Amino acid sequence: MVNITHTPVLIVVLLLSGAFVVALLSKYLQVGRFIFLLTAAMVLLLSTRLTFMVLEYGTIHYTLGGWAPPFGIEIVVDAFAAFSSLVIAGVSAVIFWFAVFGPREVNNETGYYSLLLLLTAAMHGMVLTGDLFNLFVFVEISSLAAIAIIAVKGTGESIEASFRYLVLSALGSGVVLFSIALIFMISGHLNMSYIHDALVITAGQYPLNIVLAVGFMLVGFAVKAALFPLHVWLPDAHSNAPTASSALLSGLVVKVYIIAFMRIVYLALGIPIFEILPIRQIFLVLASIAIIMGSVFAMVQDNIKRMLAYSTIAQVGYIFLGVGLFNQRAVEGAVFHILNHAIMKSLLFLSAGVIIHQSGHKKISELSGLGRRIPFTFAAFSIGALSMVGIPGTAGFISKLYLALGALDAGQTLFAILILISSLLNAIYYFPIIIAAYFGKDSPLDARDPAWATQLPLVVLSLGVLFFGLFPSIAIPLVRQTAQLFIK
Amino acid sequence: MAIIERLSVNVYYLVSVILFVIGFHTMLTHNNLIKKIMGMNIMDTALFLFFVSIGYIRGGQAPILINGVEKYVNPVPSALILTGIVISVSFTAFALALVIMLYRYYGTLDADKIIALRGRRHG
Amino acid sequence: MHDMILEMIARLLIPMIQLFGMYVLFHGHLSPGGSFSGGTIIAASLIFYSLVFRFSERKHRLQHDTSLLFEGGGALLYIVVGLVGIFFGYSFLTNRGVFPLGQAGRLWSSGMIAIITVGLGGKVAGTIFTLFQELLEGGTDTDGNH
Repeated sequence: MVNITHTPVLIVVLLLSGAFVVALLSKYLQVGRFIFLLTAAMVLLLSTRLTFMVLEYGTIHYTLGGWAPPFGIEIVVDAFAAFSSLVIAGVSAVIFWFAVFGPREVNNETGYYSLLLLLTAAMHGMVLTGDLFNLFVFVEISSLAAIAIIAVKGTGESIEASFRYLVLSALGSGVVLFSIALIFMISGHLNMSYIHDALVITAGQYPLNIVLAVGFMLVGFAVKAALFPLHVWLPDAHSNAPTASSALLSGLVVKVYIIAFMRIVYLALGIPIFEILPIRQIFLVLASIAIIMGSVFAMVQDNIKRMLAYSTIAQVGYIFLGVGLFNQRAVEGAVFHILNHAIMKSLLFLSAGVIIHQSGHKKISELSGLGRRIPFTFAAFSIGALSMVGIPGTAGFISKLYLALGALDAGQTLFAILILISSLLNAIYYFPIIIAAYFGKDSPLDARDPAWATQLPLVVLSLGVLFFGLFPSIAIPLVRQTAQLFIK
Repeated sequence: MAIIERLSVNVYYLVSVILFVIGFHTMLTHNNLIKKIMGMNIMDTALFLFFVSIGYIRGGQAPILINGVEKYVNPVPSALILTGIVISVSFTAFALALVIMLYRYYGTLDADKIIALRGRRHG
Repeated sequence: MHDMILEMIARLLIPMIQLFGMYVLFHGHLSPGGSFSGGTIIAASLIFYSLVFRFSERKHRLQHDTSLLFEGGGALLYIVVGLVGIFFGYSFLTNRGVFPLGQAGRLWSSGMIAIITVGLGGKVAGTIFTLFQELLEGGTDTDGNH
């Protein structure tokens, strides 16, 4: 079989080889940094090219090693995969720049860069693959790398947080593997589209297998994506990691598991089978609780990074809410929120990291008046916060609007009200920081904005937030095609 | 008797589920970090047994082409589990490395004591 | 401490273990075994050696760098072999049509699989040996280079 393009496999291969090369360059730090950033830039180019190809030719199928699909591993790049890959490539490139030029927080720099590349490779692999076991391998690689980029900070708390993350993550992986075994048992395939075809016939004969498999899959990915009652590892892990890691984990990693789960649902399991269990209702209930409780927990935090971590739990709830509502506009909102939240949460974490580094304070109560000392970084933080609240003109507004419209389309006015309430809650914990920083009593600290190289990622992400808030139509074709994959 | 017959046919599944529950329980309820890692390994082993026994065919030979052998077991699950074992080994090694670091910081392997110590240090 | 019996037995056994590891490694495509099992056996012999003949600090360092090189190099070899397929106009990791396949049942009968197996065997041996060393030292080195 002739393949149209090698781009999807080259993305993963490039990142993996970058990771191995950078790991060997501990003696040549500058070369290592250069290769690290070069890899990210090339992956961004490849991802953009892939997206345009998918928009032009439709879904791309790539077979590895020339083995035809039921036996070989197949890469399936549909609109959703291309969109996710582009989001991962774009946001990770910005975060990588910050990891190189931002404040130093780790000892072993090349090892850290290698882990970041490995994590990104696993994320790309997870969204591009069409093979269930291949997906599991990438899930495991990304889990290990994600745990490692927390522990790399080397403080007692970060290691304790990463150990707790490891235990829960291993549990999640275990049940996901169990679920894959149960699916393999009754379908005999690992390729997702073949599983789909086989399950249409066999699912009715083995309802117990399907119920267990779907349940295990849900629990496994909910642990990794920090859906509300299973989120306990997230606040410690995300708040104790180095800044670049926090941004990457909160902005991308958590969401990639949702993407992988959604891909399994519509590629492999199929919507009718998926509805054997009342999964949508479970999603709606858990997502509502997550949105409210995440915001409530965020309100009472005094550590700024911890507050942002709890806010991530609420935002994960939004995405599950959109998936649970399950109509065109709600799913569009959820998919758009994956992009928007990736940009604004990375922006918030990076600017918070810069603020903490420049001022030496991480308590919200100690940041009063710093907006006048560190005007530039605080402006970036404010843009992210405004977008989080959902002020019109920022990216956060668009996805919340779509979600609310989707809720109204589904006739569930309750959830539209819920989104409004949660916006108010967001305002309650984001606005006091901004107001105190700009109009509060003067700070005795002699802090100032960092060098331009550190600020560049903040500028890019702020512009991204405003750009997708003012011109959401750029992303709409991909988002719409993605939603149509679900609502067939 | 029918149920015993069914159990004896599905004994691999039964044993792997029992092992899975043992591992799961150990991992969640024990305070000792090393025991948590042991639980993780037991759980993984249970999953490997489960996965491999899916591909097992009674009386089947190892899937290598040899003249005179007609019946082979399904090689796919075994090949997958080889990868699974490697992943499990890396998880274990990484967890042990973290435990060593934790012991150096807190001087104990008890999860509750570590949390208490952390609370005392950071108010 | 200097243990005569241990050293003599190690001297006798280590070549045997390594030979067996090589056998498992090279026959990975013909019989049970391959890069993971073969690499682990070779790593076991290295660990045995380093336990019996305790390394001086400087020697240690050298071992680290070598095993790290094996780790990265093995994976890179895999990727390069995969890219050869793309270079000849097939997909990534293509075997048939790119590499000579040979006659089934013979040692050289698998095209790229043998190359990949050897590369990965080196990687596995390097990784396991590095893991052992790191856990043994308990990360005592503070400069964070390893």
